[in-house]
Amino acid sequence: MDDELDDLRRERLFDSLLSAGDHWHMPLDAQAERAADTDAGVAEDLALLAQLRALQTGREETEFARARIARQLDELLYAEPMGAEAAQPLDAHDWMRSRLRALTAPPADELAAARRSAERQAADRAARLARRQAITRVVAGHTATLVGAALLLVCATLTGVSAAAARALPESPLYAVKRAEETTLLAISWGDVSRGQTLNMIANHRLTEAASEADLHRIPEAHSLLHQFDSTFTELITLTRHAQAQHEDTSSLTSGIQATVVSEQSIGATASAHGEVSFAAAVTSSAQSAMTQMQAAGIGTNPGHSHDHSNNGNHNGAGNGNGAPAQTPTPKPTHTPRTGSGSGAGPGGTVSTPTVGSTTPSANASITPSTSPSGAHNGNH
Amino acid sequence: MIIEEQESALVTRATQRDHDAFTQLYQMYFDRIYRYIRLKLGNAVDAEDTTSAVFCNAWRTIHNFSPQRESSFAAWLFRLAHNAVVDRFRSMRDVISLDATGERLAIRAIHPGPEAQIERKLTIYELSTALDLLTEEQREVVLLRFVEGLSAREVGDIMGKQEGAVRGMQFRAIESLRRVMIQRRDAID
Repeated sequence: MDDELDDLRRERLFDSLLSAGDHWHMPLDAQAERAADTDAGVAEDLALLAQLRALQTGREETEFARARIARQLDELLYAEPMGAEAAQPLDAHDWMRSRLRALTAPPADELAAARRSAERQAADRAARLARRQAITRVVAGHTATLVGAALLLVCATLTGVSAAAARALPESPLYAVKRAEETTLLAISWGDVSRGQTLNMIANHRLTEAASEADLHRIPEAHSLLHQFDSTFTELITLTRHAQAQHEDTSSLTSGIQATVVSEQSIGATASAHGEVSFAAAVTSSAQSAMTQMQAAGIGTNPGHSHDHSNNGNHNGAGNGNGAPAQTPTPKPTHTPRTGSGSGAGPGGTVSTPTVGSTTPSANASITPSTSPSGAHNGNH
Repeated sequence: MIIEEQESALVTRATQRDHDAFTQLYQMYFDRIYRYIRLKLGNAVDAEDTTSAVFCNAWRTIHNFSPQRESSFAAWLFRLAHNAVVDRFRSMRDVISLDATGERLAIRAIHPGPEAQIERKLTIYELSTALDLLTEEQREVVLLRFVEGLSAREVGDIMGKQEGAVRGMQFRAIESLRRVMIQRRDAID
């Protein structure tokens, strides 16, 4: 009987100290000290409880799981439109038309420059005409392929797959849709500048995919994607040199190229900070090669200081006066860990890793985390 | 209070299919849900699969969440986790997970018992093995109430019990756990 009463008393003591600790956010160690004078057993219970609250799973294991699950969730989330969009279904045809126009149509200033160039150099115009006719013939020869790819693109867009595909990595089933989109956009990009912008977008895709794979510790895949980036970049530089030789306005294109190389350098620095030595070395080498190619093509390596003469002021919205491209397609956001800077924080916001019992909301808008130890992530969607 | 209001706003947005809001909730709760499942299942592979199922299920069914019916979003999410673990155990009932067994053995081999470490800092391994010696209800109370810091009412919602019953169980659970750990440490010493 005495034992039962004693247990009841101890139970109440434990409950009251625990409740008070939770309510007033008092450390459980302090509560244990308070209990020590009354009941050593309850004090030990509370001390054990403090250890339980401080318990953490292995950081590497947790971050790895977080990254993998985030990728699955990303695909689930983006398989359906967001709230307001869900309420108001898109006119898919209008959306498709505007998207293709934005990605492929040359800017107004380029058209004007082309007209002036055509007036000044009749010979060049004839050459361009001949080249365009040649391209047309090639395209006509691949009509079936193009129609198929276009249909695939339209179908993918209509079903909402396209948005998810934009974030897909090579191992994802949606990756084929992403590559088909790229092929189609490239095929319907007319003119060196427009085609160059599409190539730059594709190069950026490979770069962000490589960074994502490296974040997930899939280094061979990252190297393979980096190699593809190199090939696309070389093609892009060749095209830019051709456009320059034709006296086309390449300011927006060169700005985009500069931004791509800056992005690559940033990825290299991040990979190095994360200890991905071989990938960081490959990225650095690739970036050096890219800069060499740029210099050979007369493209400055500092964004905003393009070699191109027409990039120093506003020209009908095609540039921002600082060399930033107005029409250069920005790389689509990936669904995988965005590379961060500094202590692993991503470019879009810094978040603390939730701790035991923590309910602090993060500023992060991306499910997919950085695998950096700090658990900070960026917020781009 | 501010944190609770922020969470409440995020939950409201997530119920309206807001990706960013759900993303933030995922970041807020991932560690806790993963740790709970990891300790219940005992191995990382099953824990990852089950955690993934919990968050996917949460996104699919979050429109059913009602602050009026649930004691908190945390309780709702942990109940999904609790149910997912139960389902997992059911599916494994007739099949002993070789991975799980292997991992437990591997952990034992890696941690043969360095006294200094075991003495003073509780590890996942130590708790995981001690929990095996508690009853199912005690294990659940230890994990939800003590490790994850949920309130007695929230734990009651998850376990289908009254708040008072949880309060009654919690003391016996922590006492049992402490005794088990003392016995284990004595055995090692």
